Amino acid sequence: MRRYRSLLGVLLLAAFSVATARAGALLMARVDLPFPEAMAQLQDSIVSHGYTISRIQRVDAGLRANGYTTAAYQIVFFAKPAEMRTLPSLDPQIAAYLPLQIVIFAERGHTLLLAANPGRIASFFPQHALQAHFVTWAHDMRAIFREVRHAGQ
Amino acid sequence: MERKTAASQLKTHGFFALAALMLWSCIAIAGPGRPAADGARLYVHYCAACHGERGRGGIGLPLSLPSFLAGVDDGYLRQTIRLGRPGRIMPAFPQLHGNQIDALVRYIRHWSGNRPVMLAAAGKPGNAVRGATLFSARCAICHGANGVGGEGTGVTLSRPRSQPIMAPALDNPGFLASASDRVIRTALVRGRTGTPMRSALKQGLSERDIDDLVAYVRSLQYQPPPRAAAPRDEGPDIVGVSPDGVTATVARLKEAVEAANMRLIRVQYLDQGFVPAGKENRKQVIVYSCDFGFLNTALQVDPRVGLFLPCRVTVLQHHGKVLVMSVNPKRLGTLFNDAALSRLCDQMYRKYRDIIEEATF
Ligand code: HEC
Ligand code: HEC
Repeated sequence: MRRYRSLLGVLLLAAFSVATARAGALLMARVDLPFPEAMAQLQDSIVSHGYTISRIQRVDAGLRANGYTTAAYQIVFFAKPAEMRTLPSLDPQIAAYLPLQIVIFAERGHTLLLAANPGRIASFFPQHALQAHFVTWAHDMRAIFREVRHAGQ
Repeated sequence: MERKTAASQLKTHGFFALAALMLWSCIAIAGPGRPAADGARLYVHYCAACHGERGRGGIGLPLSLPSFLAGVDDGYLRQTIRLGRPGRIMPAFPQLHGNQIDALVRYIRHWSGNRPVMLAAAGKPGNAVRGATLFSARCAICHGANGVGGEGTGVTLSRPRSQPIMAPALDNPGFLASASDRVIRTALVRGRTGTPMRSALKQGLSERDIDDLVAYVRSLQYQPPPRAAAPRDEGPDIVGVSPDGVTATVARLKEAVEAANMRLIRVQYLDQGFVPAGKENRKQVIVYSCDFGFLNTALQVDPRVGLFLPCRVTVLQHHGKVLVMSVNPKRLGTLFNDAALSRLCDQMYRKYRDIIEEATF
């Protein structure tokens, strides 16, 4: 029995490492929606996963005000309030990576979503206590990207 | 032989069944032996974000143009997918199996109605030294000196750039390992209709000139490839320790930001927007700033640079120490497979480091 159990362990590990090896460093998705619709959908989806949006940074407005031409380009900042309170005391260096952010920008009639894969950022922070948060964020961000993409299909 | 109770037999069988299930799911994840891989699905999952849903291009080059598809063989497409273009954004896909790559190639080919590939005839051995001179005069304006590639990649869609499609890097090890001499020659003889890449013959170059240019492009293979610095030992943050309290440190930080010619955008608490106004932790402050000229240049090179935005330095009291910190652009830069962006990250790194040193001196 013990043999089978360790075999199972090896198989589980193999399945997991194949899955993580596939995890790209960046999460990217193309949404077949114009920017305003994609943005509305993105915000709905972020909130539906239990996050609070603290701010939308209008990078495009800043660029235009300074004389540059750009299509819509904004950043959505969000987090769970409890995590904002507790995580910096576990490791102050994580504060520079909080709140989480998704970049959203227009490419003609399409919209692109972009985020650093929390699964990859996790490797910057070896503390055990933080790992579960990265796993949840990675899972939620993937779901959010999927939902916004499907809204455009 | 040992007698087993029904329960223990069931348990053993259960373990076998579970193990079989695990094995099956491993195979399902890893892919080998999976019959007809679905090219359309793979394309949407792995490629469409950069190359466009219908292959019209974006951060990546167009893939659906008949002029492109007629001028590259399947080997070129397969190798490009396998190896990517190191340091030029296009990722390598070592996780894809042969049948998945074949399915992707079939899918990409369907955009031209699977019209047959027609490569230009093989040329004669050329003179790379003469080719280098021709390249400087005729090609470097788009492909960069020594073929390092245009400033930025793919199709110009979201902001003005020097070309409607930025010329790819020709010194790239991924390109050179994928393209046969005939593929390179075909691009030169015919050009790529629908892109800025024009036929060299139609521009008055001779067959011999083309042979020399092919020899020159091939010779780039033997030069050290441009490296995206991958400083794995860099920490996640640049950190300084301030001798002052939080309020005084923030005041010095604001001065340091302005002294570095950054526009101060906003100062706020870290948890602002997450807790009721007035309840914020006043020992955790973010100072946001931006250098719009630098940002505009960076966006032309790689529109994904927004992940660094806006520039911010966080001041935070932890165990009685006042820390001043920013993300470490060198470390974040390793996520992008973009050598040009890595160079900009080095600049950002120096800027952050100077600001933080100035604020904590
Ligand atoms: C006006 C800009 C411009 C000039 C000048 C130019 N090219 Fe190009 N070249 C491009 C673009 C853009 C592409 C990508 C076309 C596409 O999207 O398929 C390209 C593609 C190529 C390719 C295929 C590379 C690949 O990854 O698919 C080769 C080889 C090439 N050019 C060589 C040359 C040489 C040699 C010269 C000089 C005789 C030259 N080019 C001049 C813009 C230019
Ligand atoms: C993160 C963005 C990105 C992703 C994802 C991506 N590519 Fe690319 N691809 C690029 C860029 C950028 C280039 C051009 C590199 C240069 O300019 O030197 C390129 C070049 C190519 C080329 C060469 C085109 C030519 O004209 O010679 C092919 C073929 C290609 N990609 C196929 C794919 C396929 C298939 C996938 C999915 C399996 C994929 N790419 C995923 C960005 C991407």
